[in-house]
Amino acid sequence: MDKKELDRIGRLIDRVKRAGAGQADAFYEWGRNTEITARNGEVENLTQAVSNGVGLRVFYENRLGFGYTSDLSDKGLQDLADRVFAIAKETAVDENNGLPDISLWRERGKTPDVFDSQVESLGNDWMLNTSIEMEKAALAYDKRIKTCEEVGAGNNIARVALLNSDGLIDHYQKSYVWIYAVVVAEQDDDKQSNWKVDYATHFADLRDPSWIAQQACQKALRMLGAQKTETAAMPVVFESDMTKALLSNILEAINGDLIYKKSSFLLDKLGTQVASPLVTIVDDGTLDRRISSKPFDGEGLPTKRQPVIDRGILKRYMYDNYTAKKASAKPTGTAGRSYNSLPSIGSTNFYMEAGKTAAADLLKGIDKGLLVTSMMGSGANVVNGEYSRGAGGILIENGELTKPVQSITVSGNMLDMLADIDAVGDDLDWRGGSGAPSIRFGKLTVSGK
Amino acid sequence: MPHSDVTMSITRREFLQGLAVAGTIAGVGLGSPKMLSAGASGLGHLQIDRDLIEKALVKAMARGGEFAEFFAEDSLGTNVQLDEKKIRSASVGVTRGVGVRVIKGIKVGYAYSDDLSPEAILRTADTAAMIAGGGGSWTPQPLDPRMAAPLSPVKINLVDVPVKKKVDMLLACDEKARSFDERIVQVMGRFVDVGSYRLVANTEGLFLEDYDVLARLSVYLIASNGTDRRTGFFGGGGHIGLEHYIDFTPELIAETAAKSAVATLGAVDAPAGEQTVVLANGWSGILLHEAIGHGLEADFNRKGASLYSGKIGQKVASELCTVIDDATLPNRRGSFNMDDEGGMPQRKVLIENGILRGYLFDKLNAKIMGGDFKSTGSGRRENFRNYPMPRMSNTFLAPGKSTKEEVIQSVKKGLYAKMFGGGQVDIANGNFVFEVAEAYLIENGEITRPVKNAMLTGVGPVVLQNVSMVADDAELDPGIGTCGKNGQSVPVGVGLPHLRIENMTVGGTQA
Repeated sequence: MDKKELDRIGRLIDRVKRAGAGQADAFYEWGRNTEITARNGEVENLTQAVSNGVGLRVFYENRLGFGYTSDLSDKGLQDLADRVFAIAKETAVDENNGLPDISLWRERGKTPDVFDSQVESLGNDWMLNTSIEMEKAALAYDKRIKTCEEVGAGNNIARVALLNSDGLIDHYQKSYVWIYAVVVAEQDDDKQSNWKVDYATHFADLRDPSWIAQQACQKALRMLGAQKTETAAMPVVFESDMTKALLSNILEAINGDLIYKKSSFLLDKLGTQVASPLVTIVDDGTLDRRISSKPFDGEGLPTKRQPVIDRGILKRYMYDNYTAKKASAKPTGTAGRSYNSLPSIGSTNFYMEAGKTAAADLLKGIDKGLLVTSMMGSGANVVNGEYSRGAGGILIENGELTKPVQSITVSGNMLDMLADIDAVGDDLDWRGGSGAPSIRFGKLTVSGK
Repeated sequence: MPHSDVTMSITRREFLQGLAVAGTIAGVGLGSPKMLSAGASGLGHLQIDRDLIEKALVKAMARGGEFAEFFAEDSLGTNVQLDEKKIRSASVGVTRGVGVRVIKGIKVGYAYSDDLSPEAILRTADTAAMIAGGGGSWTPQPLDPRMAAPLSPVKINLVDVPVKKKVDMLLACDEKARSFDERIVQVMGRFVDVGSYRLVANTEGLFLEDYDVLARLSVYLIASNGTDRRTGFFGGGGHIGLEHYIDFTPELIAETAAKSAVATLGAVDAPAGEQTVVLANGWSGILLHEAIGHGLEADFNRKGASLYSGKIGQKVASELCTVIDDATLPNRRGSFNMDDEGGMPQRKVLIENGILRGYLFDKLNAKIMGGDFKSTGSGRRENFRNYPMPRMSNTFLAPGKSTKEEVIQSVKKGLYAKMFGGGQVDIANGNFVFEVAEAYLIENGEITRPVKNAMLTGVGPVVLQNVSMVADDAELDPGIGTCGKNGQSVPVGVGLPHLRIENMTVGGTQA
């Protein structure tokens, strides 16, 4: 980071301090984003921009005010400081407001390896050629693949800095590259669309573009001719991406904000068995070459590796500084932040460890069941654990995948579901900062006809 | 927190959301310059002069583009949040920047900048021009700046209203909800207002400016009886002034949310499987939004990716169904004075007595599809960081002839869905879901016991074919919806009269 730029941001904090603020922090982001999509062997869209912004958090007599701007002129920054200081006065006094204790910074480890200059230097030609390669691979894969709804590639470079009134000045940079294919398969009067994406912080880790396109094709083709199935309770297998979606529900349920508001189905469950002993879930912000790794979180707290669920036992709730103080616990260093939002509790790389069952063996012994391959809607209620989501998938009959099904829902209660996981696959798969294997539930309600 | 937006979305490209590390993050554009009355120009505020815009367009066309467009935005927003009986935080944000789009054939180049210096703006134009990759030129035409005609009368601009007033409204919500029933254990409230100034200029000689305010007050709460926890949500707003909340009071909002949460405490599991469903009027219009609206957006149809592709003139719904998308309704959340490419808001009949009549077009897709297709004023974008796409505005079903009572009484055994959550659709196969937040059994023509954990799912055309009764009480939602598509969020409205649908799949746990 440019020292001159950091000094300018630092003046924001000086200005609100002079006005009478007790504490303040400023979060600065600079980003360069490029994406190209192709159609019929040519560029379809090219989007490119460099942008930046700063968010300012002000504590005034234990009141919290926040503001942001993308106008980084001297005038823009002064206006921001004055507006935020003024609005802070309108909020309520809360003794739990404030910056994290300085001693917590000292645990900062090394900056994980999340920047690759090769990603930074990827040119438009590479993005276009890669997109065209994916389009070709998809259309050549099967004659029922009639069109690519979109194929694209892009890169993003970000630099982040956090400064606060206790003297913290820290920063890091991150790169990532992505490729994706959205394809449409058609047969008779049926259309099925599906997609596959890959992200990597380092160019060398990116998967083969043709393979990505072919995966999208396979996912679309296997759903052709899908019908509703009968309503019944049956064994259900979640593919890795479905497990990832369930992980995001668990992450929400352990959010310290929901815990102190007594709004989570995992309330009062710390140290108890909340899932099958086969289940271990970890948050780890220190991994090299993982997209959600970073040296510090949105409040400047060091990230770490920490178990969330260990062999079924709930090990922690996620806290930022405010909710940690309320709960007399330690913050978990998992606050997310962008320049235009207050820090909010989240995760770093959040994943379920691979199990011991070969993924193909998850279907064994199921007379009649369902492999869930897609889900829709936000029908997971973390307040009471109720779970009911739109789904698509493939029927399992006598241990084999048979007919595709759609227009169904899969329902249960998340606490029951977690306990009911009777096998975890060995196929841990990552997408961005979320990783999960396939899992099998003893029984879920499938609603159809 | 689950609080806040009731979101509707499509399944594509969720994967690109939530990953943004920097810059690319979309800010909710909020309110802005007070000095803008009709006829006045906001250019002074943005400090971009007309000459510079002209230079940027010349630069954008210099590599052989066929069309170029300059978009600028300056918005100021306030967000006040109530939590645990007090205002936990308040924030104020500025989103300002420019975007330049260049089109050649089906190719689109887009670049944006939050740096408003002349150098940065011209560099942005040059980046967007790269798509064309040849030589070209454009002779500037005299630009005639106009303000878009304001659609929504507003007496008291919320951007100018002191934060204290918004705080008071939130505190009133909290007090009302808690006094309504002692089982209300958590109340979260939010007041958001955004005043946005926008400008669109293009190489066809268009130069249009707009100033508009969008606001919403919403309450999310939790009821608990010790063993069961239920959530309630309600809110509303639109392109409105403070006066909107004189009739639509904070107390009314809080009480509606509280009633809904308390009503389903201790409810039994919803029955699973196909059944007859009656949808209450208003917010249930999310059904149309998901079941058919997204599938009629021209980009999907141009690419043959929608199951409605090539079906204009064909029967796609019951003859009882007439579906309209109307951006011209004053004060409504999904309305606008101009779309984000300077198009005038329109009322479009999408389906007439079951027959598909047309798609929702932005300029680009209308041009590529050719023929008689024209923009329907549906080109919308979240902010200057995005290029426009065809989007819905206020989408609703025209009223029928039955009464609400007749619809309910006609059902021997079924489900009555009263309050709703979000929804989602898969464009290709038409599968959609939407959440029911408050539902009851219908037994022998009467609404009886509350049920929990219901989710409705179906295939758009099949469900619309199965509409068997339409009541005369069409109503739009109170102004709470936000629609997500390819990572861009825009405010929308939805509406429906009471509706009877046969054989709809209810995802419950009671198999």
